[in-house]
Amino acid sequence: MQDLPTVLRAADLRGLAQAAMPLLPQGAGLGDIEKMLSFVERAVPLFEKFSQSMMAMRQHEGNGSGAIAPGVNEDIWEGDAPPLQAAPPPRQTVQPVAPPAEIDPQRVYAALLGAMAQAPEGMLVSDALILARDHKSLIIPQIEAELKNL
Amino acid sequence: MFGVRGSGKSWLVKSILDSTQDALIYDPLDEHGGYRRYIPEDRASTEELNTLIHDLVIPRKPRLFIVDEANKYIRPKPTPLPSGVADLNDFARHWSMSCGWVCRRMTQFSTDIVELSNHLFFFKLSGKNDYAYMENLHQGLGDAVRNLKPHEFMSLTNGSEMKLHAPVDAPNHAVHTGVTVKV
Repeated sequence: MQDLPTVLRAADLRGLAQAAMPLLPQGAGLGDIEKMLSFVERAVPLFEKFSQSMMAMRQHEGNGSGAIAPGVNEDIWEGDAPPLQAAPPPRQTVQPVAPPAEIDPQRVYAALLGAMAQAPEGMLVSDALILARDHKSLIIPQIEAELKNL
Repeated sequence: MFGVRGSGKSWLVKSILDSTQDALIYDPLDEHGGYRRYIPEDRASTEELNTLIHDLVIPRKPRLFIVDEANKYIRPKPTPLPSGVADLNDFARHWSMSCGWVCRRMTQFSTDIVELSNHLFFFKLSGKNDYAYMENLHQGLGDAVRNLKPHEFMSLTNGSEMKLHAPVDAPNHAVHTGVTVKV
């Protein structure tokens, strides 16, 4: 605090905020840090969901490589079950969901480090997370926009 | 810190401010010249205090932050705490910060802050509701505060340790600034 004037007024506060802005892209102030942190907060579950989907798909493909056709219950036959055709696929009644977008973790990591490097002196990750949490409703749309850039 | 006007609060505030260079006081009445202070444009605005906390106090984390006339901004329940005040109340200890709230009467102030404070200071108060409030906080506190002599004060630490204090010595900057005298 010793670097600040002894008497502070609202104009000084605005001046301090403006002085901090050139450090951050597009003059967005602390909002950009919040944006990046919230972006990470959103991106991590997306990664997890995507990887889970991939794992499930691979497991399904692995199971389908055996001799038994889908839909055949081999327990009710003595000896070899007659060859059966697989049941037709169910009618599509729901539009397929697009898989989550693939995001390069390196780019998220780089974006986060870049944002934190521009944080005001003394700001910790925990502070930024608190701010991000408090302004979640403002930040989510910014994240959605940011996702398109990665 | 509680006490009516002229009871001695300001000298105790100034003495506490003397304890560190890394301090900031929210000074709506322009009384604390000589100390690092923020004088609001609108001394009735809770938003201005909130902005200061979010934009300066939390990022800078001074060792000591005091809000004078705090009852103007931090009201009793059911009024919610301003978000910056709530953050300080929750996190100041983790940030190695001390926060002080100065007001005249505890019945005008948030019980959340009172009940979570480590140290409470009471200058002379004689209102009926204040007496009941203090007795409710700690038996005997209301009587002790009622019987204080000028500028003496009681402290209540961690909700149980009650102590009588003599008036503080003159602080480094004892004279109130910005006081308009009507002739």
